[in-house]
Amino acid sequence: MIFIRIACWLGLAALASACGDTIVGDNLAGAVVTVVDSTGAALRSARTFALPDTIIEVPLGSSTISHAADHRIVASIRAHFIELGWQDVTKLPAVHPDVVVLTADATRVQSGTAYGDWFAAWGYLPYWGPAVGAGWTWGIPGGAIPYVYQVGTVLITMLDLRAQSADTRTIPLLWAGVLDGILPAGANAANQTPRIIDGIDQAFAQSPYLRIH
Amino acid sequence: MTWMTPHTWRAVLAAAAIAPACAARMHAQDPEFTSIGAYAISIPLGDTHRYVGVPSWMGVTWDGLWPLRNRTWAGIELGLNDFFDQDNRTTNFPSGSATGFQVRDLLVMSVMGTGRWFALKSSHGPYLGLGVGGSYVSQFYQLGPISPFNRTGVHLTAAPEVGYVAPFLTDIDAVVSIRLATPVSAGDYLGGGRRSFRFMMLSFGLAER
Repeated sequence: MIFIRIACWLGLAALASACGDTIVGDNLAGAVVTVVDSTGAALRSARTFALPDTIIEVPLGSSTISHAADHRIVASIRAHFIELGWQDVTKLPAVHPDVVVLTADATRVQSGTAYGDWFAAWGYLPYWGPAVGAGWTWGIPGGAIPYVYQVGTVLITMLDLRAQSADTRTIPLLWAGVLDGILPAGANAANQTPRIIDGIDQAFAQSPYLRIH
Repeated sequence: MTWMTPHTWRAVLAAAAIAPACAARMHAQDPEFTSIGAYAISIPLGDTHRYVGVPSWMGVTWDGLWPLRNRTWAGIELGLNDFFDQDNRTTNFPSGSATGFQVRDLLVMSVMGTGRWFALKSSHGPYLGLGVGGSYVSQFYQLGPISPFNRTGVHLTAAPEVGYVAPFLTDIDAVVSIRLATPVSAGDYLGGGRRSFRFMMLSFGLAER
């Protein structure tokens, strides 16, 4: 009887010691998450986009991150969409785009699939309909799992301008790319640009459904 | 711990602490009682394989058995199996994808009533067994620095089994068995909806009488 108990304890001790000493998450270098409207119908029919050249900070006015690299980051996003067959109508005010692509940087820990306070951050953009205001929310795709992302997360969101609903006061979110924890707190974005560009590349690489055929 | 969560650790330590004490108490009450401690390797099947695609090397079971009649035994079983995997790749979900360092863990704790029927002798040789009871499943997922997800569920479980018992030392037998754990689909796990985390378990144990 003693033999078996000792054997059990030794076995469990061996299993335990094999577990190592590294805490899960010690060497994490960030993650890229993309969220898409799983029905896909609205996304498949969209052809034109507008992409403001500003990366806003959430919440508005945080001013904690350098924006020296904004132009390069936005240019990378624009280049990916164009490469996928989308038409950029940002500088064609007479053309109403199918979708607007907004880029933001979280300067606080956020929860959800996208970010709150979006209207306070962006204000009224010419792409919104006349009824859109601070009480409107973004319609998150069904099945998307809300989560908590870190300070320094870059968010790329695609909103369907054709399907704004005055009844529910929502603007459908068709696609989101989340580069989680890319920027350490208080970092200079210019120094982190290669990581951000890599993250953008990955977000589009894992979203082949964005390609227009 | 690289491949175990604190949650898993607590469960392992609790099982390790309880099992020998239970065995000793029950042994003192009934000399006909047989206590079996086993180490288990598990092959993930179905939903388990879709979540963690690699075998589990972390499994322990404890069985307490009493003779019912000639060649037939009945008792209880406590089991603990942990499936773990980590990698740095892209995972596709119905509503998107995720790329980065990912940790997936599935901890299955089960309590079952068991029965065994020995084909040749009263307590040795080949046997057929069946366990019926419940299992508690804890599902853990972490992607990069994102806060981890944890889902849990309770399942009714059946586990048919074949095995072989051979004399090993005085009052101690060696036991080898293969068991198919088949929980009923239940819960609300990552990705949405019910799951049935099935697995095939190969266990190596020692039985003391």
